Amino acid sequence: MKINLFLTPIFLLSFLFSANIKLPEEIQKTIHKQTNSLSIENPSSSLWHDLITPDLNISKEFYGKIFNWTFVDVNFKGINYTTIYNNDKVIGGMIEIKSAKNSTWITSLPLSNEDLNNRIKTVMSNGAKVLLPPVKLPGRGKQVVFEGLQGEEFSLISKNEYTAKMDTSEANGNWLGIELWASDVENAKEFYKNAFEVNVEKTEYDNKSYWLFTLASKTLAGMIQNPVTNQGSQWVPYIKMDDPAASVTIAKKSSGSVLLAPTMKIRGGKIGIIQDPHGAIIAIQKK
Amino acid sequence: MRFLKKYRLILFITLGVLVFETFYSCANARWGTDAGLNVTWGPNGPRVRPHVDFDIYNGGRLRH
Repeated sequence: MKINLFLTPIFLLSFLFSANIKLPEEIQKTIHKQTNSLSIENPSSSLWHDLITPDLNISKEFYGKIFNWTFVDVNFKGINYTTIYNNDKVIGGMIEIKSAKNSTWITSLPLSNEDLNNRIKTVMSNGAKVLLPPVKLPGRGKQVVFEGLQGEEFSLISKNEYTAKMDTSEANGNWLGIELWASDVENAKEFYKNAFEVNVEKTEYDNKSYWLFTLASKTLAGMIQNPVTNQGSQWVPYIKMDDPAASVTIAKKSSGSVLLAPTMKIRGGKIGIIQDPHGAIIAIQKK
Repeated sequence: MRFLKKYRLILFITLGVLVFETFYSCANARWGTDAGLNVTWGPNGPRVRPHVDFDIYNGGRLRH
């Protein structure tokens, strides 16, 4: 009897699949929702950011001076890792990879373990390459780093003790969000729509297009046509600071490069864009 | 005397060839990459400096 109860649904499902019978749309949607939909409470602010850097000490000194961040080194089995704190609240991390030629900010979407495994499959089936195969780090859970269709890097990470404690307020020195600078906007739209089931909404500011990645009417990220003429697509994080001009000046004095010094001609002087001493791009913005 | 003149001629030609070679090898040299990109000297050596076209840039609209 027990065996029959167990086997009957299996036979039934096998029959449905082998006969290629389509389930009613509503049921399909429900199954899809239960297995593969994103469930993010507060999308735009719950993203995790790690800086990959060839020299942790130089990076800590640079970002500490500009944003007043503090750092707590964490020992992860031979990996030099530090947690970033802003106003004594955790906001991200830095990982030292000595062989890295440049530094780069990698944004991670924290997911439950089950959602993470499903999302890895979906992202890969949509053509993303795995740059760093899933690794389990104590206290951080599983993380996998991908390269999108246009070479932009992003990551998925298990929800962990750090992502749970993350400060998502709009305090000075906290993340405002991330923006994809996409060389091929249409291609990026399709990829992120399919890989993350986000909606992509086109808006317009100053006669220029701007796209919003939204989920359940909450903003997850933005996208613009890649304004960098000599580099490919990349995700660029934005940091909130009340005085971007002062931050940019400090960056310049601390071996960083200034790509945009705030000027009234561009966004009313609200934005500065810098490159850290190893090449990572980060934007500074006042509200 | 004739020997010294000959020596001077050889020295002159050698220097001339050296100067020519120097200028010739530097003819295509530039402070940048082959693609004519700017290079920044960072802690880990040279790297390409990104060029942002601010006629295209329209960012920072996430919370505005």
